Amino acid sequence: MFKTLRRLPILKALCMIFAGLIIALLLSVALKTNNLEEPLNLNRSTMVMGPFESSNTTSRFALVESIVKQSTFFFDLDLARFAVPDVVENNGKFYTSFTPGISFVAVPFYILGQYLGLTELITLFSTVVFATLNGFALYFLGKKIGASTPAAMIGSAIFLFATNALPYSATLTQHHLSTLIITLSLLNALSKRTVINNILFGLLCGVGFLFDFPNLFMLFPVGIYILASHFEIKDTVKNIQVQFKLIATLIVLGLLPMLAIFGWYNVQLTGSPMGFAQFSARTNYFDTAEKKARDLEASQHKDPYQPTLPFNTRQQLDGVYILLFSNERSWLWYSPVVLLGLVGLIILYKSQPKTTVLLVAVISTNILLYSMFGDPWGGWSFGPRYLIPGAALMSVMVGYAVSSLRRNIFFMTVFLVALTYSVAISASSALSTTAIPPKQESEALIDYIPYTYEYSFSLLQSGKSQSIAYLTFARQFTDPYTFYLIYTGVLCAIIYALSIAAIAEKKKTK
Amino acid sequence: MKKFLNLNFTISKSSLQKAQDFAEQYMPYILFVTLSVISVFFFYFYYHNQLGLAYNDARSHLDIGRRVVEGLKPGAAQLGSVWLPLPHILMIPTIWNDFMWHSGLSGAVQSMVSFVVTGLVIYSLLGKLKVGLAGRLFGVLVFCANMNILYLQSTAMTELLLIGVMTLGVYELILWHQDGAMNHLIKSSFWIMLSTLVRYDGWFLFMYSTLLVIIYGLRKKSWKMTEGLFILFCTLGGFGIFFWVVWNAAIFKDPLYFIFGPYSAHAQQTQLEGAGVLATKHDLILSTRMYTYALVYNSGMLPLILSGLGLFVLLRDKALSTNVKIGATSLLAPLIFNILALYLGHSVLFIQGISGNTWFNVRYGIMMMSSIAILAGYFFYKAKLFRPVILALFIFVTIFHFGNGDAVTIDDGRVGSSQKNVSEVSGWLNKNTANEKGFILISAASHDAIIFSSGLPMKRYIHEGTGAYWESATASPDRWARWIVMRTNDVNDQTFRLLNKDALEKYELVNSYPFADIYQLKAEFVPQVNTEPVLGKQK
Repeated sequence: MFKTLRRLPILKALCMIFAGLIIALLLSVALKTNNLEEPLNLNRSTMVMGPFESSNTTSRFALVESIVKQSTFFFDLDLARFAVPDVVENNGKFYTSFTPGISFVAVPFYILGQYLGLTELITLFSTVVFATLNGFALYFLGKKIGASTPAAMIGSAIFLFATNALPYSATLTQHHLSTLIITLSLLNALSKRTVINNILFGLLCGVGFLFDFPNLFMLFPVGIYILASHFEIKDTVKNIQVQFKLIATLIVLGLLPMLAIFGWYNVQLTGSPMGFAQFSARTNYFDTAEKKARDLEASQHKDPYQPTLPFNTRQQLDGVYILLFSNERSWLWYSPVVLLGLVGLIILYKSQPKTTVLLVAVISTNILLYSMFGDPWGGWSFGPRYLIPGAALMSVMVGYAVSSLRRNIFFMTVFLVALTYSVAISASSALSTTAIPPKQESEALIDYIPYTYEYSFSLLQSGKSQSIAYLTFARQFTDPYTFYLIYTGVLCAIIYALSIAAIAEKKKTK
Repeated sequence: MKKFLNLNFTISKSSLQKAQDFAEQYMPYILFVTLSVISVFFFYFYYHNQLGLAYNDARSHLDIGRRVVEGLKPGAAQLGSVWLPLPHILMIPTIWNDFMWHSGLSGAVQSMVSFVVTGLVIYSLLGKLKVGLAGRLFGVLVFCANMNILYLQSTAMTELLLIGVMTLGVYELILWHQDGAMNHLIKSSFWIMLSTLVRYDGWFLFMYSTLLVIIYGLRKKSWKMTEGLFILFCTLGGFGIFFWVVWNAAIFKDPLYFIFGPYSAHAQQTQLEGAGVLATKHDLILSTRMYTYALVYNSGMLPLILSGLGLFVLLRDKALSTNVKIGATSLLAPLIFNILALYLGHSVLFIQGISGNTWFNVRYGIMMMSSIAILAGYFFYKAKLFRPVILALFIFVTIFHFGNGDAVTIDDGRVGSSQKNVSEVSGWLNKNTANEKGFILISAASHDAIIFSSGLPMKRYIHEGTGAYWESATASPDRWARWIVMRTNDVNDQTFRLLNKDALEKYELVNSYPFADIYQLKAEFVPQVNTEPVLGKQK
């Protein structure tokens, strides 16, 4: 990867910087405010459609603030209340129930934000930056597997603008950074095995672990692939000679520092390096007395055979349905364009079977893992947010399919239709909300809220958008829905242009 | 330096070949030992945590077997008509022993043997389909690393025995389709005949196999040969069905008693239909959906997907003859049967969250497990480069499957209609009647679980199968029964339905429990009650 970067002429580098700025700008449209009068000055309101509408952002943000302002990992009562329900209580002290990596990474952005007087906004902007880097990483992955330049760009554009990665680029969540880690690991795996690459892979695994536990599961196939790459087998007449390169062990060297950091963090919180906050129950400190009594009653009647692990095979049928087919969240309904990645995988298998196997392994692990998760919906969320890493790889494969089938009218028609639909859906959330209830919860609400993207459209059509870009630059000219149409149009136009460039490519795909 | 950083080793091809030959030669033995150890371990595991007898049906099966050898009227007629007789016949050599009866081992041992045999048949069948060692072992792994299979093989239920004989029947049928050797057809008809004596699923397999035999004959374009094959196959294969019809005619004076009798599935389904909970009847989509859910919950999502892909690959595989492919469709017989049974209203199956809050009969989904394992093994073999991914994903999912103890069949057994927590009633009986003289009047059809759990000998009970005792005790209870156990005011309880209610004045209600009430003869009438089996041997 670095070799490739070194070879770039200055012009190319400038083009990339320019492209990065454009991507960041387009993603920034998804940044939202909770201060309608002064959109840039965010406050701590957790109102719907605001930047802190979901607790997976607030809890991580609380940790950032706690680190910077109070030099501690523990929350004071105000921060704990802000971060609820993703808060754990231990010996009267509160802390986040999430792994700390995302917050650690956001700390420099928070400090920068303090200098600029835009603390919250710049902190949230950190995800936009990493989403942009994701765009580049996916582009390089596309190129690495042999897609043409415009097709590789299409792959990364699909991920950024035609999946729910778009709305989540404006939240302080693990999705983009996890995706970045997985993509970089894949690029690493597809490179030559060297000392540096092995240490880097270990480092990526460690950082991935700090970002989110399940990353380890998704990186596992990559690790096996890398380990297998260290074997060299020679078939002679009488013998089979096996050589194992011991530099594989250096992966551990990269992994250790991050594990040490995680262990140290856990010691600070719980007194034990293995005392992970994620395995502790959330606090009920802020619950009403009535809810506490209800929970106590429920715990007394707990089924002794109830599953104890967070991933449960009994959930799989529902999980797969929710993540892949249901109108509540699913690729089929929210980003059907990524399903065309299957075509890319089939084509890739013919020329690069090992790479295909690796990609299929990571994507399947992502789907299988979260299909077993108790809450495949991801709470109040938009689209299958747990499948964002899988969507990234599928998007790259769509790019590869476009590269190979660019002259196939049927495929390109299906692609463009699916693309337009997917962008339209994702953009609706980027300008409105990522907090859509699961069907069960939606139906139990006193004031009904749709459990599909219908909700984000209804908000836009009723003139509601808290996009900072809209409120700052477009409010005086147009209504939110028209702004949404323009935004969707711009995003589609960019990918259409890339598609035309891909079609015009003369080079055959590898 | 470079050499120092590398680990080199050489494997001679001859030793590799030897290892492979060793594996090929001894793998069936290794599997036999491994599967046997697994089987015994899991029986002990479920026996130890008392889940082995969670199913009400498991206790009833054991009681039926026990009544053949012990009770007021022992004998073959006790096999009854509610369930097909083979599982109970197989219990006869061991059920006389109290430990074998009350531990459930007498019924479980046949499930355990079936578990081991099915594993070996999966291995062997995949071998016959030219699947390599890895694919064969993966097929066995899919089968034996399933918590539902491991649970059911540890109980006195009939599923594993049925899976075992059906898989053997299908195995021989496919071999016959492969090489046309008549001994395979005869063996197939034998195993299928046995399956017709375990559950009605076997009857459908018999019909489906007969159809395949006819198709095979017709494909050879010889009507005479078709006729001959048909007669040969049906004579042995249909013997079980013939036997059962004759049995019903001889014992119950009605050849179709098992279909239309008061304890038949038909009678049960009629009641359920009346209660409006037989939603699958005449709804093919819902029937298919319900059974698909049952399949997923029993076999797991990943094995099911792999088996679907396996079926697709198998049917497209040019290396296999059309005959073999036609024969292999018999692997799908349980799927077709169960959907049809739900559609026709002959079967009932609940899925929690879709139809009520129980898992009643969800275990029917396990019937495809050996087929799923075979097809998954087939796909694994054909997937070549994807093998490591498939294996890793399977292990990954299986870790959580075991980690959470996710067996839907256990939930079926311990929650809802399939279970009965009768410990209060049976505990009372054990405590208050074990050291007293006198008979207990009870309906076995309604309260077999109580009879089993009480720990009392079968001869202490007067039930429907005790002939003159039953007739006398229901007419004049105070002369025969010191205790009566029944659900008062429930006409489905045969004791309540047939009891001379006037005599109840001579009893006091000593306790009332969710599943039954207990009446005890008042002290002043005890001297007149019979406490010995004075009626002697009855016909």
